[in-house]
Amino acid sequence: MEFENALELKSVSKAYPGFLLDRISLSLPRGSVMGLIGENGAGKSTLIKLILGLNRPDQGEIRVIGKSREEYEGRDFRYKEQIGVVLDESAFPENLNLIQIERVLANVYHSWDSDCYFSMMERFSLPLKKPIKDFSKGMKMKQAIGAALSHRPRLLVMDEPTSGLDPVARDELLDLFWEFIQKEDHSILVSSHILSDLEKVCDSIAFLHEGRLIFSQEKDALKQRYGIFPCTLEELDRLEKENPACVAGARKNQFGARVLVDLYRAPENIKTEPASLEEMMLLLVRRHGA
Amino acid sequence: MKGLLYKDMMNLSGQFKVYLVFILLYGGISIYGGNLGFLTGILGIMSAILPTSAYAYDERAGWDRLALTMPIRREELVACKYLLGWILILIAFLLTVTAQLLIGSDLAESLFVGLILVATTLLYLSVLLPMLFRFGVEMSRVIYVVLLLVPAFAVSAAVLFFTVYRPFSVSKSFFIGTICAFIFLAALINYGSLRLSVKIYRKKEL
Repeated sequence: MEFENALELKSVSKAYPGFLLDRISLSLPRGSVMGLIGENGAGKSTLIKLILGLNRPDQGEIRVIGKSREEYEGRDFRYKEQIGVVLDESAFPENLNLIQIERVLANVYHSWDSDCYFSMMERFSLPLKKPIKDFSKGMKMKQAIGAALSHRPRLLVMDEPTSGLDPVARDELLDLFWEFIQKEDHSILVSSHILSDLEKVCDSIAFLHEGRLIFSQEKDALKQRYGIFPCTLEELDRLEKENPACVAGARKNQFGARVLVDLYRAPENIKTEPASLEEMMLLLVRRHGA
Repeated sequence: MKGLLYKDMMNLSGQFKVYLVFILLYGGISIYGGNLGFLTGILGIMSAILPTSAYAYDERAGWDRLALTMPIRREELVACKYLLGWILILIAFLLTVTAQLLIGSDLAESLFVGLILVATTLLYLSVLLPMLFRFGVEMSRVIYVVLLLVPAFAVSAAVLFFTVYRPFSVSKSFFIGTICAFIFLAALINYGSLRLSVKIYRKKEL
């Protein structure tokens, strides 16, 4: 059975003491890359755990590659061969070296490709006989990404895969994601704090704040919708009085303000600069209360 | 399951080497001195402690979180730790019986000591593993240490009992019958423990 969306969430909620992930609905169309952004504690990792079946949602429906959570957690558990996962920490057994890990994974995945795995490890210049515990964080992350790609997944789900990596290593990984996404039915969901990375690879962005989904939109649509209006404090006051709906967020300083403007609601003559994802997130968080 | 078991074996390879040195050392001393209390105690501890060490390694690495994103059922993760325990218990049993035979015990006496070791270690794992799956290594640590003394003490006591009282000269069939019933009970409890661990782990949030 073919599927339209690699990922589909309908009104998914999960409550913990002091935290509520509140009715999240979003979809990741097959063949696209979605970035999940939000500050620490916004609910990104919680959402990813729910998607991966590590935790159960209190309510709502989750479908991954066309299968419901109940199906891929139950009799269709082999379906998980098609999901490549990179968690925020390596999580591979630390006393094992890369050759031993390969033997473990070859016995777990039917679709395992040893040649692919070893060529990835060679590409990242990772030592095959050194235990994982002696690896740097960057090396561990590269190994985890290499392993996630070596069982030929159709969907990659990654939680902060580029954190702790230097810019060169991050660039290498982004290249790898580009290669992966070249196949039209391959999709990626990736959460990251490094928004410039997401800006390079993502087709759409989902923004979580305090357990709520602020938006889930295509990156180009966001760029069209939001702009930065650099202005004086007086101009900001005037804008907030005359057209409050267009002010999506603002940061004041001693010289004036940088205002995130919703261009669909803003006056036509307003002069704006393009807004980066980082600035959008920072200013929207201020608007919605940090 | 094969991959998981291989992973545990490789994770524990360092500890295997340490135990091997102890077994050879105490095995030599015990066989030379004609008293296998120490050796059987160490074998009991080894088969009781290594499955919990394997669990501790997994917990420290966060392995379960990753493993459950793979085509692995929760039941398999649980069963693997029990299987590892059973394999180690079998090894400990074979080594104990062999050592007993080497110091001149007859087969029934050797089986008696070996089966005591099997039963107590099975019971130990039956209690400890569900607690590990429920509370994790840190919270189970105290009970873990207290319980660890049980198989070691029971096995050593059995060896002492056997050496001093020579029960087989009185009624061999009675003791063998009793220990077989004990083994059956321990196996039954171990099976119940496996079912309980699976039930606990199915609900566990990671």
